[in-house]
Amino acid sequence: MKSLLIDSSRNNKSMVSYIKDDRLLFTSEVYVDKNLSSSLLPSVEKCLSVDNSDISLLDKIYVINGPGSFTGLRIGITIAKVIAWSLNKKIYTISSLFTLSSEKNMYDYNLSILYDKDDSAYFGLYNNKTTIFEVYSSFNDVLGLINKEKINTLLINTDDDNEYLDEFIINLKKNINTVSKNINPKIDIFNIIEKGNINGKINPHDVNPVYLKQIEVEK
Amino acid sequence: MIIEYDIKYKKELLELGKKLHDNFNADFNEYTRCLLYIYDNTLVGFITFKIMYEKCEIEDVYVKEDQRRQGIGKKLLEEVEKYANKCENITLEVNENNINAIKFYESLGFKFIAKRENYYGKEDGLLMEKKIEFNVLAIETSCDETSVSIVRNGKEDVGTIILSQIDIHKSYGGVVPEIASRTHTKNITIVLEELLEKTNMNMNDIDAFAVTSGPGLNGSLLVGVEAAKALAYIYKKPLIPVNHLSGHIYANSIEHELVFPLLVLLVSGGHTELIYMDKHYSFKKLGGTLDDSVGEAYDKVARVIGIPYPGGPEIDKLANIGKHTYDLPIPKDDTTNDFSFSGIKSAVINLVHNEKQKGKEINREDLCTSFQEVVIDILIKKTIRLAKELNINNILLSGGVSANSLLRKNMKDICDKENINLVYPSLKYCTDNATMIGAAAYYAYKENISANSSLNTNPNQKL
Repeated sequence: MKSLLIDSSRNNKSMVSYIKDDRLLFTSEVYVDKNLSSSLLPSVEKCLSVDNSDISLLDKIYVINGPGSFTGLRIGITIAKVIAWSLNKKIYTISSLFTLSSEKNMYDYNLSILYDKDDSAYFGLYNNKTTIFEVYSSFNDVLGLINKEKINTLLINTDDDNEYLDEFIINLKKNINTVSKNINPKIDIFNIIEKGNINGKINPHDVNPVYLKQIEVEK
Repeated sequence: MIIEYDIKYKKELLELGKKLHDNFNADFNEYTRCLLYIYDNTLVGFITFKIMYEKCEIEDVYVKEDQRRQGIGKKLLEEVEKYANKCENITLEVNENNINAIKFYESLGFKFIAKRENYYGKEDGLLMEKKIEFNVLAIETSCDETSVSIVRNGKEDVGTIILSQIDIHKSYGGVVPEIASRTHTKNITIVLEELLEKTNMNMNDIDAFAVTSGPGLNGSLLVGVEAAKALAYIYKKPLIPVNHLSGHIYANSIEHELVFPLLVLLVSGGHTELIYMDKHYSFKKLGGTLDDSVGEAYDKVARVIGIPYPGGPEIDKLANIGKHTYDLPIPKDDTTNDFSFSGIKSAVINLVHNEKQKGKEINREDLCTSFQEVVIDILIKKTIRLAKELNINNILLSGGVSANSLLRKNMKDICDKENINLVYPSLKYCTDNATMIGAAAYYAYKENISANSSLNTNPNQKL
């Protein structure tokens, strides 16, 4: 069983992983922003070259479908859906927010935060591998959604330790016994893949970025 | 296993070759080539052929008698086709009495085209030809149309799908780049599937993939470029990047034979250029707009008089029923090859505002006629003058604005009078479409233009 995982949702770091059965054979990381188009497909080629495999021999494709960099998502998703559609391969999508909370831990709930701008961010709340919600919101507004759950212990996973976070944690602690933060969390590729399998395979035509955030004209 | 000629097989090759004719030799070069069929380290068959520009001629084919009827000859000929993929045809001669050989070549798609008397001593030879089909699957997503097409030999529109986003962008008064990119991503595999269904072809029938790499909206271009790169990678076929403007020019080659030298008037929403071509895929810009493109001026004038996006075709329609009553300045009426349309655009905007302030109604039809006549006149005047200066007898219109009825009619009248050949594309090939990209790609590939998986978009790409 050969699988490919493509994550191009971040602004400056993309990743392609090549997995054979339960072994991670290779991960190619791309640290570019504007030239992602020049690097992402070559990363796929690089991954498959480690065992001289042909793309047609892949069994499954997993792709991170957002939220995140609009352009980055479209590059990764276009490559993934074209491969899946043309070679009739199974394709699965996983939220970029889930990837932040993919590492196993002892907390009841995990909250992923992808900071955007001002007091707004993308938030994803998970109970094990169950998604409770994924939204684009202000730190203040998301409190209401979190407080609807009966949470005892919460781990916040984020790449960005910013000024809003400490105040946010103080507010969360009013209702939750234990709140901890995990900056730059590790990614567990096998948990991400498992989450993709739980989400189920998708018709390649229906694989599209999940932007969560509205653009100006949509408002 | 088929390999290119290796000198270590020279002796064996000469032995087999002499069985065909006495003057067989093993002097190969970049034009005359030889492929060997090796089995168990022994030469069992060979084929020699010549590639001269667009022609490929098979000279000798031979398979050892005890190795025949195993498909070796077929494999050798099929391999030659790969070498000849930039040629128009493959030809060969066969003895008219060699019925088995004739049937064999016919089974591979060769057809009789001429008889050569006494070609084999006292026996006649038959000249047989196989046309090379080079199918390009092209993708165009530079703006708000998701289009894919299969184009054969740069001419034949085997099938085209155009998914227009006009209805989506209409409500915003123009193209919203982010929405255009999102819509392309959503539709790209859908249009590809529709194309294969429509043409009854599959990806194995495709010889190369082409894509618009620029100019255009970067987010939109990226979707097409990623899709084309992925397909070229999956099917191990050439990837041909195509400049969108060359696509508009080659929209003409679908229905016309291009005759050089020629002068192109390229008029679209983003460009107004005069381009000189002395041969295929060679572009020299001789003039262009210094500010707004002609299409942009049309769209802005349309907006100010309340015509919804896209305004160009509607202005053309209204201009046909109005009269030239408004006095508008002739844009950049000088001896240069450049254009300027921001002045006339501002003049129209000022006129509309002034009339409004006076409480007067603008006659939209008359304003459209006045605007269109002034703009089209200067385009034609400068194009014809430059063609005469350069002694060029072929003018080619291209781009979205080449659909304009007044431009077509008046340019045709003047060209007829001046004895200049004029070509312009059918209306369906004037607006953005992937057929024109597939047509241009064929000629680009012949000029050895290709790319790999690291191809990136170039939103400001020049010709």
